[in-house]
Amino acid sequence: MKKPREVTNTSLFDQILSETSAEDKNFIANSLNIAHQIIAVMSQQGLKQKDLATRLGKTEAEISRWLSGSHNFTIRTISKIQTILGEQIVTTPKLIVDGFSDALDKVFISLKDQKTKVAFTVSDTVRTSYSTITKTAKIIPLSANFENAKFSYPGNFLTGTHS
Amino acid sequence: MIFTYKLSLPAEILKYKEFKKVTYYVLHVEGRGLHEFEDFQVRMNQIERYRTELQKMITLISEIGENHGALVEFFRNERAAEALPQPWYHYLDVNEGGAEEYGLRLYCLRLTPDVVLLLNGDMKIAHKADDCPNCGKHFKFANQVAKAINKDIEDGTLSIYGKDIEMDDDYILNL
Repeated sequence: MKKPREVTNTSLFDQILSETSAEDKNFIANSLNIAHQIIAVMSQQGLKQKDLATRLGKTEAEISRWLSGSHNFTIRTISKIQTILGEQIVTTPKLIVDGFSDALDKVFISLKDQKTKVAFTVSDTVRTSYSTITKTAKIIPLSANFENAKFSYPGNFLTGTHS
Repeated sequence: MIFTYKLSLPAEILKYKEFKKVTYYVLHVEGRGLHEFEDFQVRMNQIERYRTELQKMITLISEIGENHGALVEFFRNERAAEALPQPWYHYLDVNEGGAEEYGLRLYCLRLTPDVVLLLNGDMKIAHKADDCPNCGKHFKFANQVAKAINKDIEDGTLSIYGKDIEMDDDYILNL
């Protein structure tokens, strides 16, 4: 068995990509992200496009267009989908940071109630630089009990167990 | 470039670009200067008013490849083959010759969520691909390729493992 030979020159692809406006790139990235999130939630709930179409009173073709990864969603449409699915479809960096902080507070309060000695250090940059949230937030356990503490964040964006 | 498709056309599958989620392959038909996807890019890039749409198409391919995988929802069904893009808007324009334009079409084969074979395409100027003087031949060719590849996968001369295509040492795709 062999593998296909590789094309050595893909410069035209790279050139076209580099000439694409940042706005168009952002539009397609955002539309794909929203479509993928809807697809993921539908999959979790065992819903087909036909089911979503029925619930929203739309045609299946319209739902197909929404999920194409290139649709220009309005806030109204996203709101309708969120309402029907009962799940957050889009979020913002502020919501993620707020959710992260709330989750940490809950863990802290929970462990404080159990009289478990723990310390948290959350870098200031968490609140000022959204992109560095996962890198700069640190939780330092002073007790082995903390290893069993679970924390989760709204919108299924960040879930995990500290170890 | 004018194509005439004949029976028993030998072609070679080539690895084009590997992204985190998808590896894209292309097809080079023996005797043609460019592989099919390159021919599409060169021709469409030469027409200035198609350029923005071509850029969006390339961005879509790149984004799907890097961040999402080739989800079935992102492709349009074209009988045995697929095409990009899905209708991202109701694109309809009238060109200088008075023909309606339905947007660029790039025919392809979405073999798995990890492997896509990019073929050729054009500006669609008829409602049905079969009737389109620009896209008709690419649509038919894509379906011809789809049938040949499906046969070779069934025969075991061509296999897909994750993002890789593997084939017999003397493999040639006969169209």
